[in-house]
Amino acid sequence: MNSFLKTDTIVAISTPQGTGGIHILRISGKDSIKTVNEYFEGKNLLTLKSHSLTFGKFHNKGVIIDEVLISVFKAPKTFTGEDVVEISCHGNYFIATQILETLLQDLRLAEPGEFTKRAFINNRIDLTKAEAIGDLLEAQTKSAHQLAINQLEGKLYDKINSLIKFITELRMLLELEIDFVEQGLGALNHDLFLTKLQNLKSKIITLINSGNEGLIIKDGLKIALVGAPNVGKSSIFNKFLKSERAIVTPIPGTTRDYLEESIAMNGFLLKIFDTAGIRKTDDQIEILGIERSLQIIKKSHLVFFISDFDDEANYEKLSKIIPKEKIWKIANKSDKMDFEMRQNLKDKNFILTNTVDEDGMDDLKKEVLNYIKNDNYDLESGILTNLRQIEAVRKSLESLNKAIDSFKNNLGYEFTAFDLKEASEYLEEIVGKITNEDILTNIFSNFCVGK
Amino acid sequence: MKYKYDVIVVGAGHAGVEAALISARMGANTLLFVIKYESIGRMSCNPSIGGPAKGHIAREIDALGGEMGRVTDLTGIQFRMLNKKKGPAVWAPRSQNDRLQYSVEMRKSCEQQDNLDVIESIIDEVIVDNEEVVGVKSNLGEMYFSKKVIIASGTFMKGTIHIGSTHYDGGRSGEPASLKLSDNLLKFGFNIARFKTGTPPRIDLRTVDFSQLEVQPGDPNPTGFSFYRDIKPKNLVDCYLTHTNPETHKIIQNNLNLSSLYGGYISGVGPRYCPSIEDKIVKFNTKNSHHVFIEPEGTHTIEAYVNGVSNSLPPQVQEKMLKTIPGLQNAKIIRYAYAIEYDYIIPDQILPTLETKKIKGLYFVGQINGTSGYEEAAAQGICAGINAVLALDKKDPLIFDRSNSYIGVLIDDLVTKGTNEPYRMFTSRAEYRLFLRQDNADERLMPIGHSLGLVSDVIWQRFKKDQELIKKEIYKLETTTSNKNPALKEPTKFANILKRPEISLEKLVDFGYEMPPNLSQTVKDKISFKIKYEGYLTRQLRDIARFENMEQKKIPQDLDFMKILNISYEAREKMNKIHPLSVGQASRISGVNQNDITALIIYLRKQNYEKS
Repeated sequence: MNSFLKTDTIVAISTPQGTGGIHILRISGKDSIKTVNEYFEGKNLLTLKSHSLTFGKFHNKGVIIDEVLISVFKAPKTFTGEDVVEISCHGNYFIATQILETLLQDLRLAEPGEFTKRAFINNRIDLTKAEAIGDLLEAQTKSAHQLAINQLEGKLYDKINSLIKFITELRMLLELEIDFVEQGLGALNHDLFLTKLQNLKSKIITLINSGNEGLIIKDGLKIALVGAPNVGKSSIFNKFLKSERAIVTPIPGTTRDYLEESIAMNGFLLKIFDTAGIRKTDDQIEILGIERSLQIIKKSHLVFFISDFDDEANYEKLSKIIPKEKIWKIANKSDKMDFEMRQNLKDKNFILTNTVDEDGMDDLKKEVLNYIKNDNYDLESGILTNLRQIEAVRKSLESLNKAIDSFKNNLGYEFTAFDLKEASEYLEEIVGKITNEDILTNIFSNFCVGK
Repeated sequence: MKYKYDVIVVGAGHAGVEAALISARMGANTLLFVIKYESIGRMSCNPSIGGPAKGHIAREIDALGGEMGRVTDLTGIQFRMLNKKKGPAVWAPRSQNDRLQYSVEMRKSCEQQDNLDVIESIIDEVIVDNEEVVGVKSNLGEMYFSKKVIIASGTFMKGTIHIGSTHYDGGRSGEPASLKLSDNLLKFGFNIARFKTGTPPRIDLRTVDFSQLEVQPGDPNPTGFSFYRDIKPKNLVDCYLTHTNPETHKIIQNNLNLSSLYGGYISGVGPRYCPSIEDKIVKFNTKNSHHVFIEPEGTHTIEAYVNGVSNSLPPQVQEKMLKTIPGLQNAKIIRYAYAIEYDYIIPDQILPTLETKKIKGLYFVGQINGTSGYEEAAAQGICAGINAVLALDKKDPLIFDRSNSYIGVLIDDLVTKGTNEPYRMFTSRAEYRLFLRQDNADERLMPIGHSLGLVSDVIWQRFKKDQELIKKEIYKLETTTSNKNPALKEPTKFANILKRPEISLEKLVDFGYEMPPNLSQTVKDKISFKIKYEGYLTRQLRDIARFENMEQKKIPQDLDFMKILNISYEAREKMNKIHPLSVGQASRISGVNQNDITALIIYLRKQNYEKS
């Protein structure tokens, strides 16, 4: 949909991704002050004068996310000509993302350059600036391809383009059957076509998985700790917190079944959950007795199964609930083990830790970093890193699934063709191809979002 | 002034006839010119109507109150619904017609039409006064005056017929060309170019050995093109299939330089989708066989059309080549194949009403706009006929758009994108194909036809009755629950059962559905489609809503695009030339990208701001 005539309230992070001094989120539109006020603990923003600053806490349903500085600008003398709120938070992108996601419950994510567009439409940019935008526009027209390459990782661009090409070939086969039936040219091979659809699907799924991994960077790698208290699980938990910078105030565990902490390790966000099932009952058999803990464990990327010996029985129980590849076996209290025992556990793929020595956690941390960096996603290979991209590929997959359904059920080639066209259009949104009026306008897309 | 008409139509082929009949039916005093009286509505090429997309158009024309569908059903000798194995959105009716009868029926329609005169004459000039048309002048020097003129010249403007190295002036085999009209149009500043098309030989059916051919019968229950008209289509003949072989190809290859096309006698561009046999052999040289269809030309003739071997080879080579084809070893040619070159007007010079931008009141329809095909021509005829009369009556124009008809897709493509070859319609050109079906052409267009007074009350009442029936049954299916069938685990709405791929409306009876006895097959199909494909229809309608949003952003007619500096220079030039009516149309111009459109919207928006 074209965004020009939209006047709904929009939000975006307006500082670049990464860790800087501060991050700024910008909100523009008639509901901006009201909406931010709902998540703000401090002065009532509604009564604040235009162009003023206030300090307070940003929270989501009572959970504090960060201490923030809020600037309120009231229409019309603002950047966009609408009511504008800016939130300055600590310079961690994960915090900024959390604030963004909180606001997205009520507001829409701004399209690339949408703030500038609104400024232009509302006559908040003077003629010289408008001309500059015109130049940019022209420059962009000339180098749309170059732009796409610069904006995206080159490899991602290639990957998506090759998917689009693949879809186009399939569409062509269908169109040939539909429009040139009299010439008897095509004679589409049903099984072969279905195989091709399924190949395409697995390619898209691979891409989405890379996106999920991309999301880990943003949302954090979720790790659940499982094990009895006497094995030193809590010590590991605390050790992680102490050695790394805790970025969120601990959530009081009194009303919950688990503790959650977020830490930044080498610039990556980890969310560590100390599941409470074991803490409360102290009953090793009932490890997963509590439903909430179970959910946490299932949603985690990794589960640390912590013991101080080769506790095979409980490991087997755990592995019935979650796939073994997600479970890391941790043998704690290695300081108290003899060499033979340590060697024995290592052979059985345990990671040894202790919370006494300075470097007792190093192996574990190294493994976690390796997991993030090497084994699971390659930062250079053009993973999907922003919400819009991931959303577009997911939608493309949805349409592709519909295509497979319609083809399997013999609904008619035109329906499969329709599904495939839709699948293609979602991908085209990412590489900025312009084939449909509804593809988001990319006039100012070499402006960073939220600028 | 000696003659006074409201509308003059020049040319009585498929475009001209529809234009003239519609104009007369809308009450305009109309005059139709034809070069040869017997050739009104002549099928110069294949005696066939329909096929994918073309069949859709023929049904749309009928829904609007046009003539093509009715005459096709009356004179059809074989009917097939193509694409039956695909989905219902691309089912496409196709007919073989009795060539002579088709023309006779069309002539009768003209003869019996009130407000319509027909004169046999060649028109040499368009008379223009102060950039507005006032009439036409014939080769006999007669002047005929009217407020609107519709040119439907087909292949006649500077038509040149080619057979081998021989070529001569002709608008079609056996008929003179119109040699002066395009020069006259050139004088008014129109850009003119040349296209080429061709037609295969006709043979004597009695000399065909049918034992070597594959029979292609019509459908067991033939369905036609017209809506609610009480015409029962009949299958009277079979068609036949045979193939070319390497020997055929060798003969063509060895004689290529003797063909007009490869001998360098033709400069006009031909259609890629309908290649001559020379083209097929040169461009697809890895194929050693091509289909050849033998299609009877009527029930009172021994003539048959040899579909698939159009060419411009010398007569002797044509004979030699045909004899290599199984079943045609002894075939005698009655009419030789030929290629024809003709003048057309580059279609960026017309508006979506088909009126020219240069001369007010002058309309172009059919091959003059670079299209090909009877259905494409007729579609333009009906559009121009309607709009000429609406303009006479000072009413708003009727713009067909991409979301309501193939007619709209056709016209929008022509005026917005132009064409590099004779333009033919395909279903893949329609973004909203799932909605633009042959079965619902009545729902899409009959209300328009009726509001213009082009649909008779009898037909309108039948349409309304069917619509009510459909609505009622769908409501019933969506609200009533089946609990009678053991195959169901729990009581289920009939509509939900019908959504299963294997369940038809008839099968619902096993689930306890009481089907009214008076439902026609057409109505059943419509009910079934609307329920079964509800999800797809919803998605398609959502696309259409977005499309319409962009179409509704109108561009003022006096806008100078060159002033919008944020639009790239190339795009500005193109926009100024085509002068799109809406932002949606502008976005479809080739070379205009999304940035240009954005800048355009911002500009329009800014202007509105400054006004308010």
